[in-house]
Amino acid sequence: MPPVDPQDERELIARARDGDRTAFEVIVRGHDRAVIRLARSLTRSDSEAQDIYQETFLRMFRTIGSFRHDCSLATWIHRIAANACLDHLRREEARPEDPWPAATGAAGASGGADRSAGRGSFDARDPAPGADPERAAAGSEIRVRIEAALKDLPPRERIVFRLRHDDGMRCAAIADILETSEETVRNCLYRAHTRLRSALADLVGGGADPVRRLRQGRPAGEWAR
Amino acid sequence: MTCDTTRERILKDLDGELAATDGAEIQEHLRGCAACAAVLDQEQALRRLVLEARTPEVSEELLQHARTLLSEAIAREPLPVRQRTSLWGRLTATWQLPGLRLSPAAALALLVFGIAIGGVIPRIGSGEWGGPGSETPEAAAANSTDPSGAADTVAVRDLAAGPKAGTVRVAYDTLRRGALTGPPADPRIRRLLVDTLRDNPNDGLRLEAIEALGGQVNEAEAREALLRAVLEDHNAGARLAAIEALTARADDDGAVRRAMLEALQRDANPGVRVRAIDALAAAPHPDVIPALRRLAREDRNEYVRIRAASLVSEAAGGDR
Repeated sequence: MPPVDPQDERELIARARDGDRTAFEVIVRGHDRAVIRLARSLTRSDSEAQDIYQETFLRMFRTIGSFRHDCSLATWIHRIAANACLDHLRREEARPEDPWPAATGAAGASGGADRSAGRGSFDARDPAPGADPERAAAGSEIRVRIEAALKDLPPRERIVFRLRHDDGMRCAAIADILETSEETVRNCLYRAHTRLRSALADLVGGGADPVRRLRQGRPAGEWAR
Repeated sequence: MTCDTTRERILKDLDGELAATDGAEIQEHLRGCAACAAVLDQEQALRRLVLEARTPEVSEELLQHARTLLSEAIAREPLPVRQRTSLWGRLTATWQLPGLRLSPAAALALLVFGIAIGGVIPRIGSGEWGGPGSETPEAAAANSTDPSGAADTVAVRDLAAGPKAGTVRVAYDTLRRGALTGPPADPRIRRLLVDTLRDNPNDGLRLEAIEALGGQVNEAEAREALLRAVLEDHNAGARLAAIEALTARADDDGAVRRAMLEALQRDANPGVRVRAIDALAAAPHPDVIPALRRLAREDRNEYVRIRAASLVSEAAGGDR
């Protein structure tokens, strides 16, 4: 979808404040893909991502009268989404471990990252539609291992990592969303990267292409399964 | 530079957020530190892995499903309380007059100026101005033998609600300065309002004139002035207000519908266009359907496209 003209966006916000549901839905459509992608990358579950999506935009509908344009609409929506994600992740952390078995497969280190896949909603190994199966399988394998390495980080740091690497946001933008300092964001990323380098040492050490190394370490044909 | 600092800056560097001078320091450190050089290699490899493992794009099905569920949930939500926009707010609404946003200092200066002027204006209306031709509102209203009190108007100076409900007070300059109080239905008052809307360069006065004429849309003179404002007024707030005033006649007056359509298709301001579509939605009429259909396909504003499509769809449903 092409970006909404800022003038149009202000008018849409004004109308949404007055209860125009069509205007609100147009605003939603301009920003909702990023919201559900963030929620999905953090929860690894389509149904949980939908819950967060709905929670985010219902909160927005209820509070749009308080939006004062002191940040961009995108930042404000991301902030609501990040808070909804944080609430969700904290609830998940407080909940006892699910009895669901970890998914079987190549990743021995999958652990908690596969819990929601066990519920049958979203498997971290699902390739994107039309993707090269071998490459997609390698990507999925890495995704599972990254998720496993990140799962012990505080929820807020996981959100920072996802905003940086899935959405490609700059540290200043992430700091704005989370209402913190750029320095804090950098520290979060530093901790996450240090942990990842350690957890993926077999892939990141030695200089060769880590994706190729992962593929070479598998019997032929395994990626296509 | 320490190893810890170097490793933090390596991240910044790979994020493209490092100053060039810091980059040179890192290079110097890396030349003498194999451990940090290894961290750089590992970090570059990690970036490739992270890139490879980015969360797959959300499918259209999932997004559509989420939107449908949200739409149902929003429909169950109570509407936010509508807040009336102030006159100043409408005149300076961001889609209209971005140049009129005031800094706090300018706003304070304007306030002080307003207070000073406020101390002078009442004396004008009350005859204390000192000029022999000054006329009190009461005197002017009572002066039924002088129906031309407005005929030689040079300029309207001020417009405000009258002391009684349903009246307006129009302070104006003629060859003599004067004021007239009465309902907008009074032909002399209405003429002043129409003249104000047509000629007065003051945006605020024209907007007040539109509001006062809003109850007079059954009078051809008022309606024509409002139609002209919809199509020609340079202030988007005034065009919006004129559309609102004319909405009641969109159902039975083809000229009003044509003006709304014209605004909908040609007005540069998205706020005006969506208000025009509101007016047509209040009274969907067969003669506007082809234009709405075209807007539903082609308008660059998504909100207008959706509303136009919705009106076309409602009209088609009504025909069945």
